[in-house]
Amino acid sequence: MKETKKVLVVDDEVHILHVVSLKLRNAGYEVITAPDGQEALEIAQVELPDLIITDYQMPHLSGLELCQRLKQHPATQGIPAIMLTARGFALDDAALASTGIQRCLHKPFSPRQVLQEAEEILGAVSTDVFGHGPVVISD
Amino acid sequence: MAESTISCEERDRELEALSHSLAQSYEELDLLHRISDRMTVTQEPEEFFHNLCQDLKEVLEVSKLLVLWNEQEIPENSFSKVISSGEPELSTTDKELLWQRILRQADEPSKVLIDSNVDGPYRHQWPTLIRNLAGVPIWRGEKVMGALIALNKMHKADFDSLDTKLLMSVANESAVYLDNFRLFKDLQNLLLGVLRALTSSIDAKDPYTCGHSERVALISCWLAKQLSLRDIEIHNLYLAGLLHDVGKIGVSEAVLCKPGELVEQEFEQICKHPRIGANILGSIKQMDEVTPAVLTHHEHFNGSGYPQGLRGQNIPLSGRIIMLADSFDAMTSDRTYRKALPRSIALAEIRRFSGTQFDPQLAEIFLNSDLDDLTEQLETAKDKQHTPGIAYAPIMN
Repeated sequence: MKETKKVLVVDDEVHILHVVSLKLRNAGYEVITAPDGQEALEIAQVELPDLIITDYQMPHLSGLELCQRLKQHPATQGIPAIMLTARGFALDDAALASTGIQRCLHKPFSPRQVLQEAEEILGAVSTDVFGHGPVVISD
Repeated sequence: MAESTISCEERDRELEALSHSLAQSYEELDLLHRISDRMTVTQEPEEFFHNLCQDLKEVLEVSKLLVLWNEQEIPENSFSKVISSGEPELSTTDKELLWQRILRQADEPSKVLIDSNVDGPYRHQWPTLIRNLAGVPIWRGEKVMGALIALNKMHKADFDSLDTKLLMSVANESAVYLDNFRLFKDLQNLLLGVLRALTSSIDAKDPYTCGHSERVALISCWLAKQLSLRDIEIHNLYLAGLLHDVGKIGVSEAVLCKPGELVEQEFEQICKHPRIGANILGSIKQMDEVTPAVLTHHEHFNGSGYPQGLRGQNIPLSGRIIMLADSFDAMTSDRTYRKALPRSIALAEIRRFSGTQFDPQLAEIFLNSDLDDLTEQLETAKDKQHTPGIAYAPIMN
């Protein structure tokens, strides 16, 4: 049976959550959402998603801090992430290295492109590209 | 209880519809951003439109997207170029038909050509391949110089006003891009035209050097291509070749055209021309990449050249290239002081002076290259005689 991949979408703007979730659900993924970084951190540790798509600018915990915290826990350190940032804003390489962030997309993003990037990352995961895979729910 | 459940479902549906609509708006915004990011003048229209067609076709969700345009003022309103993405394949007649109808629609108050059989019969007759379409003109001032056309809307019955608005925005961006590109090309052509006129007038002081500068420019470019230099470097070498002897304007004709050997004083005068040329060009900032070649095109690899006696890698590559091209052309042309040498002798001379006068690596590459091809290209250029409209890398292929 084909394993359904789980994606955690994090954004303090609810319409973004809906837009991204809709796109991913229609493509066959299971989607969990969180409205801020703190809640996302708690959910991620329980649900162990296969991918996280998160906004950068959020109250309580920024997307970057979220990803950094996740990288520090052995259970969640292998989870890849896509970051959504404001146009013109770029994260430096040093900051990215401390996280599992694989791609940065600028807002307003193309939902099609988000799906494409997600599919690429989730497709690559099974071949263990990073050298340390995520926690796989083995069948 | 039942009532609130239904309204929850309805609410969910509404939310989904809203999200879908919002997603579509994001796609459009992202597309417009991407198009403007790509609008650099140095990109060729073919590449620009190729990307544009693919992206717009996906955002609009149509089966085919095409761009028709013309590059110059063509008297009988026609298009010279087409780029498209998707299916179906259209015949030339079909494209002509679309073009003509867009032109006619451009005279109407609503500039958008839109047709389908959804709300009523078709307004026009179309080939069966076309189920519905939306097309807009691309303007240059008051004239239509292109058209952007979307065919066969997918997932929906027909095009809506959001689609046509997006088409118009993209058409406007395309118009700006095409205009800039055309102006840029015009300026390039103007610059080259003026430079050729200038250097021809200098070549004309000595009847034997007619065409020499142009040939040196072509040979230098050809050698640059053998070295796989970048396009911009090849272009600068072309300019350097054209301008390398511009300093001869400061040398008297009596000396330039003297049939016999030059006395020391006369030779000294000739030796000044690289520096005179570099001084002339030195004040033009856009010539910064060209001036060093003009200054050093008489330097010898072993340091025995003039005006500075530079040696080896201290001579800029462009100078070493011009030196070789200049010598080769000088040897294979008639001069006031001797007749043209046969090619084999000229090549033997290059081999003889490789390492002393010439950069040995360049000499080797030159000697081993397809010189028949070079000769052919020089002949072709001579026949073409400075056709206008050849700008960037104006020679090879």
